[in-house]
Amino acid sequence: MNAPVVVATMVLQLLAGTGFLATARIPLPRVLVPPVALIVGMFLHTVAFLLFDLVAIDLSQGAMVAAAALVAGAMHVAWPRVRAFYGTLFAAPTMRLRLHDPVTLVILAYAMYIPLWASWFWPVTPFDAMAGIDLVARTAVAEGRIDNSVFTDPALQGRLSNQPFYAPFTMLMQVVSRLMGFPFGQVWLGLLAILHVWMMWMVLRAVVQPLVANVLVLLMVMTPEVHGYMYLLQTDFANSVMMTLGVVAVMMAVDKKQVAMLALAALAFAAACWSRTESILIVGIGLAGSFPILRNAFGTGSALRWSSIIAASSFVAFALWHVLYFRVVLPQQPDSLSELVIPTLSRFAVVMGAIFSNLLFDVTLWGWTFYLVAVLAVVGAVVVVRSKGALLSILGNNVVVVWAVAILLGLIVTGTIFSAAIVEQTLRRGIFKLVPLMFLLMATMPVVQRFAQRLDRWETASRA
Amino acid sequence: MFSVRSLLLAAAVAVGWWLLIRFEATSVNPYPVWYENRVKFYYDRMDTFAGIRSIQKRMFMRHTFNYDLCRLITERLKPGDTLLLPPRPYANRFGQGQEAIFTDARIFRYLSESSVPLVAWEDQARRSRANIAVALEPTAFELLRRRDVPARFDSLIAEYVAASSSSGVQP
Repeated sequence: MNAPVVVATMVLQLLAGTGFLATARIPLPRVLVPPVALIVGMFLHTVAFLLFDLVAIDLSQGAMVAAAALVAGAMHVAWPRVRAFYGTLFAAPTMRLRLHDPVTLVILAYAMYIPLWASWFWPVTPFDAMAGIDLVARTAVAEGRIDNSVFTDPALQGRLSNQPFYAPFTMLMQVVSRLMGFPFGQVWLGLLAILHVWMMWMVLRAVVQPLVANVLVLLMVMTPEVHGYMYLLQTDFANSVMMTLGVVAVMMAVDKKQVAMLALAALAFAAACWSRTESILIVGIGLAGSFPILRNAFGTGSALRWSSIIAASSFVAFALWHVLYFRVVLPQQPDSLSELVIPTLSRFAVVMGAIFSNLLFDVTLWGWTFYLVAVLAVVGAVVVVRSKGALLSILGNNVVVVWAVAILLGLIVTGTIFSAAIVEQTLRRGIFKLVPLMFLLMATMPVVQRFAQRLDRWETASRA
Repeated sequence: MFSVRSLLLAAAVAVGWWLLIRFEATSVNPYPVWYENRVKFYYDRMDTFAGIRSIQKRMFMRHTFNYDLCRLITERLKPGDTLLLPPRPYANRFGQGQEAIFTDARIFRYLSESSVPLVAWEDQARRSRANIAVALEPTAFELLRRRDVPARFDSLIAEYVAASSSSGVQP
């Protein structure tokens, strides 16, 4: 590990992300700025790094730092605006901690140290990563090119399958991380997991009473399958982080009537498409589903404009790799067409049935996540919202519900049209995107909100 | 902010979490298994693991014989050699229950950290270009057989074919 390079790269990524938030005037709560800025910075850095490769600059350690510096610099061009943003960041803290917060923090730190440690200690393990993402990344570090000998080796001709062609975020972060001097790369994955949990914790606290938020974030971190992939290199966890950030941004934009938040959503959904291919389909479905909510919040013109911006940015991120890079640079393309199957209603039903019966309610994979949502929804319907119409209205206007349904539908469609998208493997990991949203959904449920208010009154009453 | 009720809630979080990871009922409560396998397992061994600095040792800990075989094979190859990877069913016989993923050309290249000329068993068009093949035997340590000893090489290929056929893989 080259400590100065690690520090310089991370600081530049943080600056790049902060610069973006400042330039786009995104009214993010201050406590969310560090994790979101670093996540955004990682994404922007990988895009710049791929552009370096596109213009035939060798991918060396110097080029990697230069790409980060370039993005960070570009995001600070509107300096007066950025300077004002930095000013707000360093004001006196306003957050008030409660006694259960340190307890939660200790448990979270205890559980989240493992992904960071394991991603540092263990070599890359999943077959898909060794056969694709990291094979390309390691060879790129050795040869200085993404379009390296993996794509020209006669032994691999016709046997690459689709793993080396996965959406490039994870592969590029492996290149960055390996160039920093980490022998297995992947330390960034443990860091990304910590940023994700930090972000989700603060988002949940903004939505619901702190104790309930603390319990929800603890349960989220303890989701067995997701916790494992916080240090097992695959595209899915990173994709889940980006998708969650996008949904959170849309939710905050609608709840607080802050249209600028949609710029963050546009970038986050682009990052989702940059980290997993099927995301372009999910973003399309999600945008269509959330359009009525955006229209109610911002008016038809603004909703149309921002939906177009989000769709365009996602498509650009998708096309930069899957169209431009594949067609212009790579000597061979994935044979995705051969994996397409004719979509039929019966296949759709089979995939949907398998997801519901074999996946979603498996407690060994997702803990109590989906059971809790189901129970709380039923209790909410019976106790809090007695009218069925009112319940449907609440659910239909809930950004999180709309995007959760979009993700589920996107996964089912993917499983229906691609033979390689196996329910128990590919789609199982696709569920990662749903897990944080389920905890966010629980936090926004009327029954939880009502309970949280009572709890808050009880907790604070004794101080009076 | 201190109050007795806040203190009670803080205790409730700690006790609740402790109960969740302790109360064993696998079909209902998956968290003790998660805790044992994904958290406690590593904390219990962290000191020992952290002392293992060698990258090769860590690779072996994770990829066992797949990693060692790739390295041993690569070390024994001579310039000009083209290696024929065995079919997975053949290699699996020696994997003691573990999948012999090194038979995939991408994985061999990854684990061996080299780009030696290879031919995957499934690559029938290029199979004849290989001049050396992987011979796995539980009692001998031969590892590679060369085409320039035709009888022994051909008998190995016959074993490959038989293993492939018996498992339904195209020979």
